[in-house]
Amino acid sequence: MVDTDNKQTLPLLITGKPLALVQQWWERAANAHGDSTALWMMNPSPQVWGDLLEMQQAFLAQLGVIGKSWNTGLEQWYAQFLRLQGANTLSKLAEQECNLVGQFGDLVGNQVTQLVNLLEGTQVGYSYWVHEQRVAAADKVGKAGQ
Amino acid sequence: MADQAEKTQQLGRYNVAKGKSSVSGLSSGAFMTVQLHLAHSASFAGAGVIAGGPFRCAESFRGRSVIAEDQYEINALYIAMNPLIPQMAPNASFLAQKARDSAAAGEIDPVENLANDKVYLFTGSEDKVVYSDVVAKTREFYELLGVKPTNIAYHDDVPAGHSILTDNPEDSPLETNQPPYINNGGFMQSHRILEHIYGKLKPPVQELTGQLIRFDQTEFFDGELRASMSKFAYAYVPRAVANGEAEARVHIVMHGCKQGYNYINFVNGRADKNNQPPYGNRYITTTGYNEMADSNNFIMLYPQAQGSDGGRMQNPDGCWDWWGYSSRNPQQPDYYSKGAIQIRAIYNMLNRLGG
Repeated sequence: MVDTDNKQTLPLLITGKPLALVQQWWERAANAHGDSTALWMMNPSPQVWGDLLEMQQAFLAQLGVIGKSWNTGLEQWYAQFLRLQGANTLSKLAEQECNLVGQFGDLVGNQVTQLVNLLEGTQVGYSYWVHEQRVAAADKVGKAGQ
Repeated sequence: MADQAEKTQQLGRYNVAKGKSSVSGLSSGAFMTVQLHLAHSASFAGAGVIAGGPFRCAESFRGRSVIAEDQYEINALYIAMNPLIPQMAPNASFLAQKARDSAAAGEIDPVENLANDKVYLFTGSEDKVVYSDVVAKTREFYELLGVKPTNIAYHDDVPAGHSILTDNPEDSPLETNQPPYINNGGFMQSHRILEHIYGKLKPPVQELTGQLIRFDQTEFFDGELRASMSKFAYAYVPRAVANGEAEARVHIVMHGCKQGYNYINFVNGRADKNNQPPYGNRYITTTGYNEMADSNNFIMLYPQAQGSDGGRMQNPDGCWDWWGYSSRNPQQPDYYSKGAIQIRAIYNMLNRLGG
């Protein structure tokens, strides 16, 4: 098969992608801030406050799920640590020790990914939501002024 | 050793009723089902969507992102799959208008074709991968485009995880949200989809008499890697259809992410080729489609997607494209139209079959 469009092989760190992604994060934050300010100036409806409360509750609930998965993962890791008594050879011992280190790394990696996922998701979701609310509120104000 | 060439056939042509084809899928296959349905609505009589969102929902919020493709992927994840609250789910009115605009631009068939189509929509109430709030928007989207509410079967009350449901004892427990995403719900969901689209059908056969054909699908996308499609795909052809004794209808079955026959898990960013998941082509052989095909003269078409990670194309799970990864131009992703590489390939397969 012919690879015509998948030629980016440079490591991530030297392609400038991280910088672009962080830049996008700040741009989204700035846009959301602008939309938020505009929305508050238009006297938001009680439904907007309700949505915000729901958002906070959903965020905390997801944070709780992530915390629970950390505790479960740590318990499983520790249980495995206690079970590692049966190595007959040095190579097996080395493998078991390295497995533990690798598993702990995976656990931390998963937690970081889940947390960033929640933060990014909340920021994107909020930006989208506040933009929609701002547009809807502006339409309402416009219609009322006609 | 058997000749490998003999084990692969070219996809053939059969006596197929035009305009009576249909499509169904799970997850990314469901998002693609909606795209195929809209893009080629003249060819379809209905669609079955299990855990899928509305057409072009990855374009819900462009913001001021410099690169469209990046923003579409972000939308896909956080608006079109896992909105934090229901109010953050895609806007059905906005997307219905986008569909009308796409039709006006000739990118998809006229949306008026949808008026008499039958649509089956399902979301498990325990689905943690694509939230029910999103699928509810798919229902609203179809209604806004003129599909009669009586033609839409909407199910959101089964406590199922992200999966297609079967009655196979060995499949995962109902509430599971893990690969292979085939759960035991005590019924064959594929049968319900087909009966909703086509009305009462003959019961499924106990023993298959037709043939499961393996064909090289690369001819349909010119072997381009950006298609993210596997080398092989499958089609089940009932014996009466193969012998030319019966007219067939074609049903296209779209698997979800991690469900293609050659799916390989990526571990720490690397393809884990030593531990290929053992479920292979279970989506093709155990979800009940073929048994209904045999008794009702359907040709079942099973296109296959495959994964890729680390390069420009971000599709490690072998998902169908509903956020633009296969597009040539990252500023104007074309993944939803008749010209999109995957849609064109699948439609050409349908055409080859005679549908």
